[in-house]
Amino acid sequence: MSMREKVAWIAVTISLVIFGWYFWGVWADFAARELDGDALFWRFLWCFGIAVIIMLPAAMIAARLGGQAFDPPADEMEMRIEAISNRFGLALLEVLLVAIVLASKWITDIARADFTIDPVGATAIMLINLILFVSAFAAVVREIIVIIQYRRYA
Amino acid sequence: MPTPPPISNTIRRLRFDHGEMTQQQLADAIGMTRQTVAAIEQNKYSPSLEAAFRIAEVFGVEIGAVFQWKAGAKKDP
Repeated sequence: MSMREKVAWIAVTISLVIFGWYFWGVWADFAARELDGDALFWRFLWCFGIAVIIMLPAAMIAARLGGQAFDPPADEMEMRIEAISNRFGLALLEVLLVAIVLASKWITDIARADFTIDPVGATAIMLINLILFVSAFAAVVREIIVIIQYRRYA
Repeated sequence: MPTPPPISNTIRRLRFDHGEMTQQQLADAIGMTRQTVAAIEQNKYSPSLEAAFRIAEVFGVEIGAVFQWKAGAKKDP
């Protein structure tokens, strides 16, 4: 298994666990109509930090166990795989961002109806977390496409 | 699975003829990963022209001795 594929497996696994937990928490807060922007901000920062702290050593250990360079230069097949994955990931991100823009009216209505104390703040929290979610989702899909392509060539 | 390119190659035999050269040794010689060499050898990935020339250069043969176009494999429209 190439180092790039190992990194993709690590990124997918850790992202699904850590950011899955974060967004599940955001959804639970939303369902309970108790969105706390400050708490979510720090929770996200903690998740992001933990993800980075786990991913880097995991990639280093994977490289060491496989006797590979930690960040080897990509060859032409790997660059092709990256290009295809990036194209899919970017297209998905663009579509999802447009979907968020189109859904903004609906989100504002929810904030006005269910978060009467601070509808503006609730709108901002929901929109920011939706943008974070689609960014993370597109990144995970991109890494999954990387893995699929490596498996096809293996 | 993607349709394999209409190209065959003799990399496995050439490696054998060159002292059982490993895929990793060939990969190191042409600046690629072993996985890419394996994909080329199994005809799952078509290398660039430059990479094809580099492979031929390692074995000291013409590019046609490494890669062969399967004549008639793809009909003209």
